[in-house]
Amino acid sequence: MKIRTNVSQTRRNTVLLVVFGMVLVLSVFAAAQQAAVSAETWQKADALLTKIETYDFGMSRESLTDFVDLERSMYGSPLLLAQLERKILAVLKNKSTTFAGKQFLCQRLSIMGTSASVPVLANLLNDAKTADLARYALERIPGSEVDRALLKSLKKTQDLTKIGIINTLGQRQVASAVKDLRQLLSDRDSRIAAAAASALGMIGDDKAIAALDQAMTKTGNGDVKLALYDAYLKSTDKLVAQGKNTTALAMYQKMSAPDLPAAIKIAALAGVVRVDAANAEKTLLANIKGDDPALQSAAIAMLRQLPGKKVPTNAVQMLPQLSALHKVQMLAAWDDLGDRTVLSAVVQATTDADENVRIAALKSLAKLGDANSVTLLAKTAATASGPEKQAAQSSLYLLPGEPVDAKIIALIPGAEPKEKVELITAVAERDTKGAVPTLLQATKDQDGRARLAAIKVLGSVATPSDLGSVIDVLVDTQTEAEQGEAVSSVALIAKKITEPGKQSELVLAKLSQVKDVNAKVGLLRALGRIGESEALPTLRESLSNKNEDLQVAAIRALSDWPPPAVTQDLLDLAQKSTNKRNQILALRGFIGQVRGNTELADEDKITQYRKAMDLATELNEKRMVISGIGELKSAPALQVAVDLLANPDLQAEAEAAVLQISRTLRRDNPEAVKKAFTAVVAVTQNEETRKNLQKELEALK
Amino acid sequence: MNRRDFIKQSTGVALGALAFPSIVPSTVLGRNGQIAPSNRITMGCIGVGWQGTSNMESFLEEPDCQIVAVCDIDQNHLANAKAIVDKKYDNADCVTYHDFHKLIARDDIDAVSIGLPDHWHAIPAILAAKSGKDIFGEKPLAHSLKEGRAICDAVHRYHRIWQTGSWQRSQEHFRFACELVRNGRIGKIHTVEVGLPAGHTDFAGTKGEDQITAPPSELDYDFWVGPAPYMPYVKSRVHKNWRWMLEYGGGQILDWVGHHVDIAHWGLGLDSTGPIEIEGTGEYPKDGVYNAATKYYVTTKYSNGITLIMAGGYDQITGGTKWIGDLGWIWVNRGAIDAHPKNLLKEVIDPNEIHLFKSPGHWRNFLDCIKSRQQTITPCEVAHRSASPGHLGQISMLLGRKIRFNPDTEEIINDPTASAMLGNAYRSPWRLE
Repeated sequence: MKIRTNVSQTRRNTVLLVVFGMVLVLSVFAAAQQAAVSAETWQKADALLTKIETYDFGMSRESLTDFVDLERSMYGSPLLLAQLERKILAVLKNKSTTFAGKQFLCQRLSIMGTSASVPVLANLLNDAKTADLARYALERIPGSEVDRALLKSLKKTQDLTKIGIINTLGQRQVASAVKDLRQLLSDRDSRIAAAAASALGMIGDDKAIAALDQAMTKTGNGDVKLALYDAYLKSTDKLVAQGKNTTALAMYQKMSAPDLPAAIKIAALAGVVRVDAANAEKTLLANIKGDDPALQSAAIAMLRQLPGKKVPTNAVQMLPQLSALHKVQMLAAWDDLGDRTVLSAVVQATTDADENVRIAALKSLAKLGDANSVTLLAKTAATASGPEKQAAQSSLYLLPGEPVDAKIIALIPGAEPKEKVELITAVAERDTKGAVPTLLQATKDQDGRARLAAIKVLGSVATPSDLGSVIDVLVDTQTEAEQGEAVSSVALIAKKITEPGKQSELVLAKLSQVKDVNAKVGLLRALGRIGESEALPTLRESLSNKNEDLQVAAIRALSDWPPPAVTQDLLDLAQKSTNKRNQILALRGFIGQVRGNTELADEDKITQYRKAMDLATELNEKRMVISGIGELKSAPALQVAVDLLANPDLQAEAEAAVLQISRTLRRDNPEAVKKAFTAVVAVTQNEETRKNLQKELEALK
Repeated sequence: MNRRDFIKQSTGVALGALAFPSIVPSTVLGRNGQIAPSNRITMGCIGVGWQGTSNMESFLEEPDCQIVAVCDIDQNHLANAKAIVDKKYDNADCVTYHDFHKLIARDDIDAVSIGLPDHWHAIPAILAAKSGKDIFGEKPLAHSLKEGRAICDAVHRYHRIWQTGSWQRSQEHFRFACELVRNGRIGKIHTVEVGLPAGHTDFAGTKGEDQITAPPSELDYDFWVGPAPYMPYVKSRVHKNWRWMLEYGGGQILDWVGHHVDIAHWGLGLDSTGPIEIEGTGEYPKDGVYNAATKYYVTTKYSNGITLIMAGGYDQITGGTKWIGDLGWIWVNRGAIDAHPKNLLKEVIDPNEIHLFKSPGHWRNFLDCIKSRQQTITPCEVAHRSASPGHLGQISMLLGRKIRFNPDTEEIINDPTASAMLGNAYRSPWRLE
């Protein structure tokens, strides 16, 4: 026994020793911390606080930002911050400290203040002029001292100060305030009563709920009523979060009373559905059947919350009886639920008398439909117009699954021309694999629209292994439009070939085989679009072909060539060709090459454009040059545009170019822009332009 | 109107029936294919200055929407907005309000469009939700994370439709960029760089007009200050440029977070969560009127290992959103999209892949959803999550330290000071409900 006592005493002594040691270490650590902050720092703090004491709005904020920096340097050291807090409080206590100074210091305390600040802040709280400032800090400082100070002041203060304190009690969820707040619910001042209701809703414990419950039966004031209802609902939501569903259900049901505002009833219905899952479907269906359109809408929307993500059978049966708006909402809810068991009802709704309902049904087929929906969607896309057509097209493009792709391909050959076009377009939009044979067949369709669509879509879905077949399509095209699309498609497919020098190989081979001029024209154009150097000798050779159509095709092909490889060829041709048409086409190609050359500096572009302008004999080409100049962003380009204002035939285009260049130049070179605007104002025939530029010139002064 | 007068008036909040939008078949459209005003969605616009007027004009273009009322505490804004609305409808019917409570109290209004400074986002939005209105609100969702949560809770509680002004989601190339990311075209994403503007853009042309003066007679300045700490009127910090004051806005980072971080989250599929770690540095002006950061760099980490960087004023972070994965990158900004490898830009998203919602237009989408009761493309919760990295970044920058965050509970971990900064006390009598 004695030995035990000795052992236990020894243990106690050891523990005491350890505790003492820890305290000692902490004290040493704290002292070291304080020592780390030099006397100079504290002198600086004092100096800054002296300035802050007299700081007013409109003065330099430097002392404030310096103080914040100093405060930040002490974060992580509670002892240093405590000392700084004491210094702040000393200034706050000083009656001569300005309002602005106090506001700043209270904001600092809101970040680093502790319960030590409470007495000083409580004094500020009792003064209407500084009550808000005190709350900025008190609302954030943790601890029951703050709560007690707020409650004490609540009884002493009036009007805005009292309301502010109530609001802060609510934000802090001070349960001990319920008794006082309950009394304030019946305050003659409805502002105070509403604030008290709101605070009770934030607190939301049993006593707060009881207070709200009782008050709801008494008050007649609209503002207070809404605050009470809101607070009651908020409290109920809190109970749900705590798992008290039975109590919550009774409360939500209470807020579903017929005489309550619709918004409150909707919130209550949402609550009921949430906590009473077993009866949720029945509750929602009853509301959908009801006669309050707002509640019907809400109940339909809440179908999304039903467990299992299933559409109730009764809801499906209700659809035909609903108003157009509710049908739209119902279809939207089904869409979100993604329950495909409703597909036949959705298909039925695509024939509804109301266009909005039809659109909603068509849209939901993207998710709820299957391969069998393809026919309906293609037909609607082909025959409807406006948003209904767009809805059908969109669903046709988005409906997932390989069976859908297979169905689309299968339907193409036998479809009506317009439907065929829709189905072919869907192949491109869906990037459908395995459709090339069907598309190639469709390029020979009797209907021109189907042929054109098929040729176009081949460009996006065909692969290099299909290139030979698509080149054959190009050779066989019957119209200029088809040839244009085929040229694009051949180029697109050829560019998918990754092996160097192989992109134009098949086209060149075909060119050597065909005799038909039209076919050769198409192939030359395709070579231009591909832009592979292996084809250049052929194109250059074609420039001197006896056949003028082939000459033109070669010039156009070079014009399509990526700059700058053939820019000089086109310029030479524009300068030397004796054929007027060829000269103009080459000049256009040259201008296009200059415009498209992203590597060329503005200065060089201007030189090239000047050459083009000298060669241009027609207005069209001159206008093309001005458009190109308008795309530049330099002062010399602006000057070129200004100079062109003198030509009456080109004045409108030159004005547009000046405005376009000025937009980008305005900030960096306002002087040049001012000069240019002044020049436009002097000559423009457009009164609105003149007025706008005069305003701009005023702004630029 | 001073604070005391204002709050003494009965706000007359709506306690009656809800207005109920109608849709009519095209066969009963009025003459010239117009939808009769009585069958349109009725809307009130609260805050009709810069962005508010722009939103209002977008709604005016929609044939099934009727602006019936406008509200502003600047009489010039109000008169201008009324003139625009009346000119559009060729009548003088648009009702003007000084106090948003009065507009929201009207039970014949289906929806409100709120275009106010950030510090005024929460109060009218929550009141509108409680009063059964659907709401178009601006980005960032709120002035603080706490306010954002309160708005979301109210919108959810009252089952309202919400659309945020994060309109980039309604543009095709932003959606395409996000679809490429979502469908794994650049592999596993490890980093997202969000480049935002720096400095204090002088939107109002009032920069430098920093003297304290009496407020202009057309402006109810006390109401304008509202729940924010009081400061006397200074022209350069009110209209448009308020965003450079932390009391009213959040600087460039919060002004843009609802656009480019919103897109970043959309691409990542992180619309209902937030970062777990945030560390930022910001350069705040030492003096002058504006106090929001002029240059900033915030690094956030998400629970899935992704690092999202938000930066303004750093050349190495290009403006816009750039997702970087182990197979390449995709960058998107207003009017531009780029990728590596380049051929990603020619990709087709096939029907069996993830397709993001294709918006018919941002304002159009809101009206469609008012009718269908479907979620909009940028609902409240999404806007809240898009803004969260900005709010948390601001706190980290102001405190000068890394913070850790639980996106499920929306609490900052083991840092009471930073936690307290998730919300602000309001000037009386305003309250956050």
